[in-house]
Amino acid sequence: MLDAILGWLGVVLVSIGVFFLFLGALGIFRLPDLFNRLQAGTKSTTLGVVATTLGVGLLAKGWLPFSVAIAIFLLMTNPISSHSVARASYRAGVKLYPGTDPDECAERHLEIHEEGEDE
Amino acid sequence: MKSVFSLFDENFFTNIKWGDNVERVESSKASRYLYAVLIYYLLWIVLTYPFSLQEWEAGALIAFLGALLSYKQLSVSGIKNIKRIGILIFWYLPVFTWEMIKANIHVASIVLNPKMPIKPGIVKIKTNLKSPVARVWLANSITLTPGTLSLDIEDDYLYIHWITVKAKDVKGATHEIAGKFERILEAMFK
Repeated sequence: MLDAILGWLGVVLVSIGVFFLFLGALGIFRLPDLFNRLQAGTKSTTLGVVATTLGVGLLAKGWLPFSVAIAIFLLMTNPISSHSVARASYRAGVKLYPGTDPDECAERHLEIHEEGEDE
Repeated sequence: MKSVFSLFDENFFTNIKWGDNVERVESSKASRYLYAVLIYYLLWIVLTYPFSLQEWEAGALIAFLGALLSYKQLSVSGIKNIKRIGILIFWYLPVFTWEMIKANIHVASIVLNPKMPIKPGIVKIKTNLKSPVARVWLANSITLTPGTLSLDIEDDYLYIHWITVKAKDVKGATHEIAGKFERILEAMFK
């Protein structure tokens, strides 16, 4: 009985994960510029992959500890990588979507370029 | 061994230059050693999952020896990290999970809407957190909450890309974006 319930929970989790992964791909396709695409990509891949791994852990017996470990690792590394992609591309001068309204980062960006500080 | 487990700990960022307004507090050697033993042993138990007594004995031996070699690299705050993990699991994680689900629904509502109602902008927020690791946690949390992505950090200010801007000034944006997590992280890294 418990096995059946856990199995169904796993199936539900995997389907939720796949759904959000699909939405992430759609977001990357539809949104206008790099930063917006990165937002869609980061959020949906994080929840999508975490839900999928946890679901697989519930479906396959004895794999739960490993899938939890993978999920924790993904939760901790995914935002870091997206942050570094965003930071690097802003500094490299990737064009923003024309409707981007306050751009508080612009002044700092100019300062960095004038000083010639490069990391 | 700068692993995922050092992410609770100030030790993770030893070779980065920080401003004068950040704090690093060092604990006693005994507590750092004990923390390393606990973490290694736990990791061993999880990785050798089908449990058996023999594995546990060997694991204890290896945990004590390995900790002796590498406790200085693993942590600076020592046993205090246990309290942090407790707050992380019982307070931070529920809030964070809810925020992440909301973030995904938000993305879904934007992507599936034929008109694509976006109004992006880059805003600046101020943080009161002093510890470097707390700031990293704040930046990561912001990245995974609805509509926001942390771009850059300078002194006390974080630059955030926001997909639907609701407040343009520093104060309003800080309240809107960082408010929830800042309280938790303040308690966590006190």
